[in-house]
Amino acid sequence: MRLRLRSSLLGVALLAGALAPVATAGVACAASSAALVVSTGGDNYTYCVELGGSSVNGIQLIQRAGSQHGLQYKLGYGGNAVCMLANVGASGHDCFGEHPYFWGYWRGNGSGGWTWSGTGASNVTVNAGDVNGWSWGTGDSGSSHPAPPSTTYDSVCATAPGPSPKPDKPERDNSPGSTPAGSGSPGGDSGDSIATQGSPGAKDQKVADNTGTGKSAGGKEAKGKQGGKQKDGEGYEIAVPSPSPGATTGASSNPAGATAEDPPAPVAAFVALGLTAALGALGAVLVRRRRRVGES
Amino acid sequence: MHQGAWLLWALSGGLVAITTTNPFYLLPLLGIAWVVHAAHARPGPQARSFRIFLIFGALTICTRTALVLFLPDIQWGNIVEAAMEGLRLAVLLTVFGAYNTVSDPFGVLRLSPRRWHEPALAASLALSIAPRTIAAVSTVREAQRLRGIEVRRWRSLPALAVPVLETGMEEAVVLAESMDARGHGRGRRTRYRPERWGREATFVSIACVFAVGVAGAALLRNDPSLALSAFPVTWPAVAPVMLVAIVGLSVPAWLSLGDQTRASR
Repeated sequence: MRLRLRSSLLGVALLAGALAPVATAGVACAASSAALVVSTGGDNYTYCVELGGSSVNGIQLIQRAGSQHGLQYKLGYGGNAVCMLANVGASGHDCFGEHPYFWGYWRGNGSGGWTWSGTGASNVTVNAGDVNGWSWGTGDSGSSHPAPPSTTYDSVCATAPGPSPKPDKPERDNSPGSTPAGSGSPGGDSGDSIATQGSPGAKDQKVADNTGTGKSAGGKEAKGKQGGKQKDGEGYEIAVPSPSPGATTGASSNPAGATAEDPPAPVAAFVALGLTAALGALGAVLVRRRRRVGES
Repeated sequence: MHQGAWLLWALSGGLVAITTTNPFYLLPLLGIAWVVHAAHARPGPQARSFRIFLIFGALTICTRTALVLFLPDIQWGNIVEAAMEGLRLAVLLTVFGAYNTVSDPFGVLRLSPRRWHEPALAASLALSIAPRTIAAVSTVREAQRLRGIEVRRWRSLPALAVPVLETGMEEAVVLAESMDARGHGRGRRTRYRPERWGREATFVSIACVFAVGVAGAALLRNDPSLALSAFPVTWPAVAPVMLVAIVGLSVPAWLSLGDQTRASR
């Protein structure tokens, strides 16, 4: 009897699991998602991130936005510090190489406003319906650091599958770089079909389409940002670590053209590995020769 | 080759190794340490110390990676990052191991200025402790075997440890006494068999300065290729200049190749 009850419960659970995508398709971002705002100082990107029912911290929220929506990011210090978001920030080996500029962590207060987070993002639990914000700027307190623009959960994760996709970048359209598509997810390099492949589940596609993240990410390709200085909205300049001449840069340098830039890295890697093998072989030959000389 | 050039080589190799966690820089460096050891290791039991340093290096990687497995929520990035940091330490150890087998433990001592004789003595004793201990172990075991004492792995450890420690102590004392007797640290300095700074030493030091310069410049420039990006895990880039600089550190091995062909003619 008990066994049967348990198996029927299991059946219900399975059924619920099967229906879940349908449910989220109907009411996008219903209960199991959180909003993420990335403010580079000039551009704002908003992401409705599916939490999938599991417990997530502030860092994992970024990683999920990366895999679901192709947000470019780079973390440091064992994955506890944010070095780069949306191609803004430090992409070198030093996570705080752009100091005093850094990514400030804010938490939404539920009514569109922001409070400066006193704890690190990896120690903050993000629940469904929460809003997290990251803003690029100077100042190490809530009073001196620029806060992201006022954002509510509902404005990011629109509840009804409305016909009007909300643009991601309300301030400027033709900003250089920072299209948050790219190498974060294998399939999210360009085009409107972001988060169709490589994302954890097919239902994420609905989420992306409803919020319109895919539109901005794929529609306008970033051009002319191959390093050097990037003029920012407020007039200050952010030094973007430029690919050194002749050096092949990693996938993180160019969000839109990441796939075009990728191949050189493996080639150089093969050169390095071939070199290692050659040196190893040479060493073995030398050792053998010395041994022969020693015997004779 | 001049002992100073070897010291410079080991320092440069170590410095380049600690600036990076990029496996495509570290692995060639490992190969270079191996080639230089293979080309220049001085004959004798201390040549075995290279292998022991290699084993220690492998243990370092394993330990560093294993420690991460105790983290609460572990990701791929953590493992990759830890493994690369372990690799960096392993390369450092291997370079040091190669230096131990190619250099004369007390040749460095002669380079030191007179007034720093005593700290230099201590430093050279400390630097050479591994090859000297390994040499002592093999001598003692050989002696035990010749006397018909059964040599077992763990049982004979105390019987082995005492003479080995004694040998190390004795060597240090004898060295200090002999240096004193020859007038080191007393203002007079022997002219007996002065070490010559040859052309090879010049080549090697140029390569070393170049390697350290390139690595230092990359560090100051905040070169992304120096560190492996672990979150998310991506293929690290490779800067050709850096690779050239690292390969330059293999110059000692090539120089000896020339010597060997000349000798065989």
